Amino acid sequence: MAASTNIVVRSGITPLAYRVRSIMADPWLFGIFVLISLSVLIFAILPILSVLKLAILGQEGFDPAAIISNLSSSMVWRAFGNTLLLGATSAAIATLAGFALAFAVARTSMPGKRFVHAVALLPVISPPFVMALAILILFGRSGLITRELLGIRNSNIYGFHSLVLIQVLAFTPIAYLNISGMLQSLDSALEDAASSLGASQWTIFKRLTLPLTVPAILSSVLLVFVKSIEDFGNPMVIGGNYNTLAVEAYSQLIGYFNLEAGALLASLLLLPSLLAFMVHRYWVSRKSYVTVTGKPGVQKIRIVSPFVVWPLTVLCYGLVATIILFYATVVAVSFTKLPGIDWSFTIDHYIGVFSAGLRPLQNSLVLAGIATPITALLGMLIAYILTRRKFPGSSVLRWGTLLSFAAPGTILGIGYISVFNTAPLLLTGTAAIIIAAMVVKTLQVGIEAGSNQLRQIDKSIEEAASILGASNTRTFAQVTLPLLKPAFFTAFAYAFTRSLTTLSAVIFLVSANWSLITVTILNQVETLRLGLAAAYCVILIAVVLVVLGLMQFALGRVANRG
Amino acid sequence: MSSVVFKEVNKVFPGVDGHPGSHAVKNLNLSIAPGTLVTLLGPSGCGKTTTLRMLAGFETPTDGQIVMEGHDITTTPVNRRGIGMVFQSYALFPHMSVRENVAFGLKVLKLPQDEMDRRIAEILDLMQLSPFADRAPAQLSGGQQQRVALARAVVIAPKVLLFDEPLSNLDAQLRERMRDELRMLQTRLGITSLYVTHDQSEAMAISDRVVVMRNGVIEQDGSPTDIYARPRTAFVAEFMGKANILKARLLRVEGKQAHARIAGGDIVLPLEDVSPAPGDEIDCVIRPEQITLSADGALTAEIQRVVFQGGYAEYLVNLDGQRCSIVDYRQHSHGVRAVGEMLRFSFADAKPWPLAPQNPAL
Repeated sequence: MAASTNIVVRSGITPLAYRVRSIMADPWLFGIFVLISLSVLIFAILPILSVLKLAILGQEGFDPAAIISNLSSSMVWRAFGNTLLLGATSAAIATLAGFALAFAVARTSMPGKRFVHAVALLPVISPPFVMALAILILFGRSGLITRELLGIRNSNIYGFHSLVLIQVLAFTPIAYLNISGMLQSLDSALEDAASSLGASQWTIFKRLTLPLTVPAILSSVLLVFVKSIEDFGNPMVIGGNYNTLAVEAYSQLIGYFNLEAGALLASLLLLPSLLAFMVHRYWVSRKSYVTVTGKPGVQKIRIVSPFVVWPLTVLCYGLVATIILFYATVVAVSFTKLPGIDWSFTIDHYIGVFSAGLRPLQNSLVLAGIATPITALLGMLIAYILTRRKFPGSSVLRWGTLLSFAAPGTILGIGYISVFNTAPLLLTGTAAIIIAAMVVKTLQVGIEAGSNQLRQIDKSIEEAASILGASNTRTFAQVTLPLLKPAFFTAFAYAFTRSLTTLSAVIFLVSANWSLITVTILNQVETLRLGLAAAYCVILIAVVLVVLGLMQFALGRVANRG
Repeated sequence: MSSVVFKEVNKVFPGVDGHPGSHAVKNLNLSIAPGTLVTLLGPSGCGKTTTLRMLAGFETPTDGQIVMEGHDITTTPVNRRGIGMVFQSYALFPHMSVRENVAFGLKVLKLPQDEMDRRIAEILDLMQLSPFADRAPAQLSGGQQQRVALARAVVIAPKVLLFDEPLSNLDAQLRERMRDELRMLQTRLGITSLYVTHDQSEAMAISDRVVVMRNGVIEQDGSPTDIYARPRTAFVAEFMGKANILKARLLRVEGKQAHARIAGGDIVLPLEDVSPAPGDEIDCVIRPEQITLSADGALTAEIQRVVFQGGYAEYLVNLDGQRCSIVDYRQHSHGVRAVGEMLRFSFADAKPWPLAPQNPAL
């Protein structure tokens, strides 16, 4: 067949002419595409490039000596090494824990699975440093366990070990969700087939289940790694002398007003993050053996042997108990007068929040409330444009949004203050800059959810609308978008939770007028007003839970109607 | 004047990511007369679906021209062609009721409300869908979904109606019923139609004309009876149904007829497309049902395989080294024969058809 493909085009429909026609067929969509691409260029690509430029060229022009002096500082390399070590350790342990949880829930007869599942998801919806706050209260110098229970006077909880523990607790859910999704979509007929061929449970696990879940395991390792090195709140609160790049970049910039050093550190942070992301996208995700059919297979519980179930159960419940202990601690402390000194009950902290400190919460809700619908709608639009239409230059959009997701919040934050500091893009100190950061940081999840959903929607449904005379714009609005509803809500929930609980990017962008709740909590923790910080955390978690619950309710009603 | 004309149409799919491209449709010339139903028939990958999708507007020809009712529509956008289409998966809008599905195309046309209501009621009534008007597609059976798809396509009064393997998702019994309903509706409304299928019996039952495609080229084009009885190539002969392709030795030629012999059985061949000389060996088609089982038949062969099909039994025999299939519709009276038994038969009733020599390029 290859030989016959060289036919001469005679009647003059060149590919270019056809492309122009396809654009003219729906000018609206193309206009939106151009607008979105420009926005992505300005709000995602430009800030990151400007940080890289700052790191290399500096503010006064290219100065190799300055770069070398910055690079040769032991502080930089220690932070770099610390960040990688923390990321690798957290990724390894969290993935192991996530696998154990996922396997126990999906494949064994462990009791209380629903409970384990629910608790394991709690860290996903809470602000990043709730864990840090809890560990400080429990194991700190005047900690509940260290001092009150064990009588240890000089316990030092700051540093690597605490950070690993906290990050493992915070990021295990990511690994858990990832791996259990894969386990659930593995056709259990495969395991039945192996069983009928005489394989033992152990052989099935070793030769079938484990190899088939390798893509999910690798993907968890990489995702947790990226999350860990990006983490700002926990290392800030509990890192002590164990400096990471995100924290160091922040203190260089805010503490010493050294923009170039901050930019350099942030650029170093981008490197491993981007690398991990590329490996994930172009290697791991291509190794996946699972085909998305959109219908979950019936899973049979086949492992009931007490020698497997009980150790796994103990492990899972240990993890669950620790998570509950940490959250309960935060709730308890929010009702405690002066943790460590006066343990009596009080609601003063809540009165404090509601009388004087409600403003940051309102700000967070308003800004996240604006950013969320924008993100969800944009996510669906971009997913549609990228998977269903072939506009010239759509790679800008694809790579821009990917880059913004892979880039740690720190580099985005620094990029924003350096790009949007001057006219015509003078946005520093406004609400708009925070909203933009929230949208850019959470957009990719909506795009992924939308693209996955689109792949499961029969293309001929949209073709049917076209041939019935609907323009592409009409087809998108009346057929595609309604069918994307589940992905839309996923994007909505993710964007809202992340925007409310985000810290690493927005900490550079808050101003006197627009302070956010996460930043306020961090300030309270740093000034050791732990009761107040805990009260804020509890309120924040409650708000997120209520909003997610309302959404679930709304979605349920929509589904019932249909 | 024809409703639809393909002129020298080519479609080349360029290779992507190292995969070789493919020349899906080659120099296709085809015209469809107004009000007729033409079927594109062929195995998967023969270019039939690509041809249909070019007429719909989902693919643009690499080269050539498509004319509909005198207008060149080669690059007209899909939504401005005024064509109706029934999809293999039905492609009903799952979030809309039956009525909303049917109304979709009319709303795009911005018809007045009363006109719209009238046409919807009419078509729902015609398709016996009125009781289900407010149901979601998921609540309907396969046959009902198929009817909604058909109603949605014809309610806009399209210039041409396209069918992309519309019956392949139905079970065998329902498929035959829907096939007949579909044909009845098409003749009643008199809509020019292009129908794609890989099922030859469906093609023969439904079409005014059948176009057999292979590797992007039209292999043969004609009425169902013509193509079945007078296939031009072995491919067409076998694709249109069970065919014995046997070598016949030519004895003598008399004008447009030739006397020939297959394994001791005498036959008469019509010579229309071929002009062989006496002594030549020529491939000819004899359908299994044309072979007569009889106690005084001139030919005998040993049964090698028996396939019981309910309505008939099929025997496979070896005829001088050539496989030959014979069907027996009278097995209910004398019983199904067994492997190893000798079968006696003749070509007395056969209408053998000579094949043109195979084109080695294909």
